[in-house]
Amino acid sequence: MNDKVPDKLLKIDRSLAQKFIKTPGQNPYLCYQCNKCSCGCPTAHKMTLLPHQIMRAVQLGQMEMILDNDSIFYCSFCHTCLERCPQGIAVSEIISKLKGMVAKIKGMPSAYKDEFKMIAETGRTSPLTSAVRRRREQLGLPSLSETVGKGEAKKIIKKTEIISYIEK
Amino acid sequence: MLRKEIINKEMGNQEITKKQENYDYLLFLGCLIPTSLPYMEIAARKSLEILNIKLKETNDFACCPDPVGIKAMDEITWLSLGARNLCVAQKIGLDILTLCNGCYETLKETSHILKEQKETLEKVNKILSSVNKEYKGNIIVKHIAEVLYKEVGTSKISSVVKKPLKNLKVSAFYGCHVVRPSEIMEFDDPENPKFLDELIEALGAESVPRMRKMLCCGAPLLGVNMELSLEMAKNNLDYIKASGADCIVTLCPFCQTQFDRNQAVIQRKFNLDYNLPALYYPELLCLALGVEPEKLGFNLHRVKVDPILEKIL
Repeated sequence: MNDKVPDKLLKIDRSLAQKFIKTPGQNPYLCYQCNKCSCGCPTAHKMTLLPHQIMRAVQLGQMEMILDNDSIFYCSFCHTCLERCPQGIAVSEIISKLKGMVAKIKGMPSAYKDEFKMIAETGRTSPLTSAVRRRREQLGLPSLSETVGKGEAKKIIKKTEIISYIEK
Repeated sequence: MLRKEIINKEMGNQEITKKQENYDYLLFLGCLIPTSLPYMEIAARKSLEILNIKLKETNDFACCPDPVGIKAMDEITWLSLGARNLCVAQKIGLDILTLCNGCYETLKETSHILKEQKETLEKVNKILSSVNKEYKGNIIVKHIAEVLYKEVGTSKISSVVKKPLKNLKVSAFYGCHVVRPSEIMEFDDPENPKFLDELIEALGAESVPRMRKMLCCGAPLLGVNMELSLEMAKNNLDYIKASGADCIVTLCPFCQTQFDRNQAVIQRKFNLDYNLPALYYPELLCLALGVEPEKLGFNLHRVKVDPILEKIL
């Protein structure tokens, strides 16, 4: 449980919830803190800011609380919360968007940076080494090309805003 | 025996409106299976060939991309890369057959979102115009298990089984993204699906129940929090062992990685013994259809499959 209770009045920032409200199934104000999401979450036991608390933080616009805590990155995106929410809120999708917002402020986890870079360079996220090629040949599987997608993935990545965050 | 030709026709920017009649689906291999888990590819190809599902292939598909990390970092990039793959299928004129839960979620959800949200489709097409592509919103994406269950069907599969897998107790591991989010995947119940259990029983094996059937395998956390990821896989292995199953059957290379490649790591880390072979469903299907084990790449499994082969052969 999060024992960082603020000792002064919270400054409520409504703009955070507004970022989700237009997406169907992502209105944070529908949450009435039933805790079903946290109860079903397979990684909640390692979190210090549980899914239902993350939802409350979004309702109250407490981005600092979310930024100061790694818990959102422990979400494995299994969607159990999404399926169980009695208000039909896609909790996992809200957490996913928060991961992106946090990454844009604090920096992208290196695993994800590497993923983007490999997609840009080769079109894949798993390398096609010579050992892999040999094994495929031995197994009678068709050969794969070095890069896939004709380098178009790189052009797409360069066109979106994510490029500035990968190179940081 | 296997289709060795990869047909890759460059059609320029012409839109193909007529579907190719010689093929049923366009095969989407993804990244992980063809590089790290080729035994999954062998089994998928062989089983679909025996069941007369004709696959066309292309070198034009790039990474789906990953519905957990890439989507979280930037949804529009994720949608655009996914839509690019859908455009490849659109140009060829075939629906997609995937082998992986991750690819299935990404491509199916991308096609769903772009069908429902016109503004998002416009945004994505603006980005795709930089690679001379435009998604028209009509590609259907299927998982191999979906094709086996809904199109081939368990009755047909049972009727062509040559070696019923009697005495084999199997733990069916669905994974998450083949059924969730249910409003998008629309493939069986998200909390208690039955299709894989039925596909296993169609082979003559017994699908044994266990606690927390739909608990996440933890694979998405592999690059981010290794310890937690392995703990999640371990929790699943504990439940599977307690159920008395002889082996685990998966539908996804991420789950397969957790249970096959990482089982030894988990055993060492937690000082436990599981000895639970993990197989991709098409591998089990191939065995039941009479394919010789030597042709299936079992030597590439980290957890030896021999105890299972002894039981059924």
